[in-house]
Amino acid sequence: MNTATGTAPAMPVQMEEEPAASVSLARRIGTFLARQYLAGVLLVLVALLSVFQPAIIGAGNINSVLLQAAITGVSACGMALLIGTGLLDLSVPGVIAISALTAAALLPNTTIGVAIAGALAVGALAGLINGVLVAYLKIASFIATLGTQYLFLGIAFIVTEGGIVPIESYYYRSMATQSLGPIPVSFLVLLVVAGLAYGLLYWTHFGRGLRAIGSNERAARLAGVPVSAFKAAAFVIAGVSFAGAGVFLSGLLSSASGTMALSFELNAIAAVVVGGTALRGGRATLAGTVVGAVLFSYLSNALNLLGVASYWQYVLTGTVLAVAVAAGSLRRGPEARGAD
Amino acid sequence: MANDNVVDVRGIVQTYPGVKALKGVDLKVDRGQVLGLVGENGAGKSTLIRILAGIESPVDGEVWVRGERVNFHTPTDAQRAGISVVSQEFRLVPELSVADNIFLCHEISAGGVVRARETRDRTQELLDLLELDVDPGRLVGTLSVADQQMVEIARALSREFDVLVMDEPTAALSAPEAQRLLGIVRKLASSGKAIIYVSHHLDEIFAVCDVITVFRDGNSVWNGSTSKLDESALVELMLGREPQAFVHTLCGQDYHDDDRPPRLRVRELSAPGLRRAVDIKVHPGEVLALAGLAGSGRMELMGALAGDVRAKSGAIEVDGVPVSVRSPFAARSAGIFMLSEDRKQEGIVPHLDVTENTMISKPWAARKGLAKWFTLSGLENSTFMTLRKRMRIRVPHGQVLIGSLSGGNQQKVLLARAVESQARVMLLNEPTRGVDVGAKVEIYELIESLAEQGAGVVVSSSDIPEVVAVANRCVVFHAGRPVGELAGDNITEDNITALALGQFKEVSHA
Ligand SMILES: Nc1ncnc2c1ncn2[C@@H]1O[C@H](COP(=O)(O)OP(=O)(O)OP(=O)(O)O)[C@@H](O)[C@H]1O
Ligand SMILES: [Mg+2]
Repeated sequence: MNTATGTAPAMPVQMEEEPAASVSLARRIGTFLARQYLAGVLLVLVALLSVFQPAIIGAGNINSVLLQAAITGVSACGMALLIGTGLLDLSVPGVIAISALTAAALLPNTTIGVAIAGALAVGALAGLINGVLVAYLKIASFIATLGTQYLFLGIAFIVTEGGIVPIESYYYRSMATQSLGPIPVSFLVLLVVAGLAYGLLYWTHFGRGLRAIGSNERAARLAGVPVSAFKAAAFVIAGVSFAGAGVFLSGLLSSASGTMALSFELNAIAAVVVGGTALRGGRATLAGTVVGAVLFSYLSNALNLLGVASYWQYVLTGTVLAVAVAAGSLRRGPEARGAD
Repeated sequence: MANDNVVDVRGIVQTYPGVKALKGVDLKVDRGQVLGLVGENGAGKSTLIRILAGIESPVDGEVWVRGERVNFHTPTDAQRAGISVVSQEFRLVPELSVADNIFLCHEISAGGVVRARETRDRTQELLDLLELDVDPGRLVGTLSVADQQMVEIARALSREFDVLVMDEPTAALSAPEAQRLLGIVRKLASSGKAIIYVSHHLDEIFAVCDVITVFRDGNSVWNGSTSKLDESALVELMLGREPQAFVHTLCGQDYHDDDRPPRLRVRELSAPGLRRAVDIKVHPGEVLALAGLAGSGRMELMGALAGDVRAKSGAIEVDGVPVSVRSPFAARSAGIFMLSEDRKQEGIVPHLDVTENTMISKPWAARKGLAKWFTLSGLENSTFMTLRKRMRIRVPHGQVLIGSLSGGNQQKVLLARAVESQARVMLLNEPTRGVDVGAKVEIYELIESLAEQGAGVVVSSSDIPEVVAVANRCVVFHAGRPVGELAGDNITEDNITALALGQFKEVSHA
């Protein structure tokens, strides 16, 4: 028999017990509100700008802001999943173009449902290509997806010969522009998509795996997370969300083309980041992403209404983005220690 | 002179949401003195050190340095006051070279340009002092944990300092490296530096410290000269209760006639870092220990078994069924789980809370119904709370981010992860790294109970007394190959040491 130098427990350690459930609930609500400081920024902005231009809070205008926000937001939800995993997808404009073109090509011959399903399937396929490049061929995500952006855009330009494919279907167009009161249906769809993305990220083993990869990939791998498969799956889901944005956008524009969503990837990333999600991965806030999308489309809409020249719009939008991100990183969350 | 103490800490209080980590601690250290700071996991040692390093500011209390009251707001303030710190969690940049890490933030430069030659030479001097044989140009991310620890120490030594604070500097080191470090500590003290030394290895504390301060539960409960204490008195002060010995009940049991197939059977396995193919067998209920110096091949073997690195050839069977471990995921699905020796880089997932960190390795097959897909926080929380109680993890509730736990408690969460993996083959690398003397015994008991429930357990450890304590059988590695197997009463510190050093003749048989 062996004996080790050491001791065995005789009595339990004294620990500051907290009424765990209630405290953690209160704290959760607290952190949630603290992260949604952007909603406050948004309200203040609306109030200020509407003094100059009352039309900004007119029902018709709110409706068109939300229409735009829905498109940015749906693609931003997919982007948020990727950013939480520590990845990035720059191929959004290409995915939107090829999926919208698929819908436009299918529409004259089939039902809306089939056309949308076709568009989403193309989005999934595009996501799978990105996923294989990043997860299995180990190419850095922003380089791989920058490449596929050109690939997908190139395909879109070739099949359209650089032109625009009009969409005649009345139902398809109204699906994208229909409203329930002042709220566009597409915005309600965004809320559902954001809810699903939240559930996926925080209530499933898959989502936990994604956050673990974003937080410490090496540790996640050794803990038994199937890193490559999960990354590829995240790209597929994101591809579907971009295609969803493509469906709404083509309905709104009544057409599809290679140039329909150029530089849209930046809007999606900005919505996520302005919403309070750090680019380094590990977590993502979906509520913040929705707020970020609304903030962004509201800002460009208001600047249009106020008659600000478009070059100045870039400057102002950029400033708001930089300030929001700076504020977010100054107000570091509780994970500051250890998460660095 | 009114005050001889270089550092005088008075009534420091520090709180975090839900935790009072320090409740008014005092600590004094003189020039030329080595102070041993000891206490259980979560007693508040690293918290005080973060305050002395200027990383955090205390809620209340005073710090005096050389008779002057100081208030550090940044690490630079602390360095200016002559305090140099070796943190428990390394603050190294993996993408930079050894030399760049050592001189990060105090580069040797002329006119804003780093002087590369001089930096290299100074680095080499420091590495020579520590007898660390690595190229100063090598990237820190490619070093072993032990070497990273040495670089962290070299970095602290590279600055001008009067006070050197070392938080568990030997946790990741092998015995000879630790001995060397103790020699350096003693030399520094005799040249007039003051040293604060934190360790859970009490033999080191007795070997090197002049005075000892004991923390318990955020209070400083004892301080005085080392000569007034012996080891058991110190343990009693730390734990606040009578120490009790761990009795190994399984040892000496013979598993060779067991007619069940072995939990793990490895045939002719060759992997990068192994100089010869390895055959091993672990029976259900058995604890096989792997001993040997760093780089002796035992770590490489564990990595190959866990699917972290691909084996070049050979076969692995679990319960008599051949399995292919192409990845850690495949290994886990086959019933093999590995605890890494590198807690920070390969263990904790910092953005997840302690419950999620515990549950992340539970495999598909062990989950039922809705829990196959969904994480079901209520269920997981109650599982974690049970484990928290069983393993006495110091954490107020299950939703705390793992990074805010003390080092030893993080280690316990990772062991809870091993338990929840429900693996039939448990590969545990350095299972008690950074845990206190009391918890060490609890972990040995945990390992034993995993074995009793039928797992085949492999413990790879550089702590020889630990191997003696837990092993039913022990395979010793030397220079990339297994050089001997010890069982029963032949598992002694002397035998293991002799084999690990390649002196096969000197092994005595009982
Ligand atoms: N940033 C933080 N947020 C919340 N709690 C914290 C934080 N840092 C430390 N704590 C808590 O303070 C207590 C003291 O921790 P500390 O790291 O000082 O312990 P320690 O004595 O160094 O233990 P070990 O021997 O395990 O390293 C622990 O209960 C820990 O959970
Ligand atoms: Mg500590």
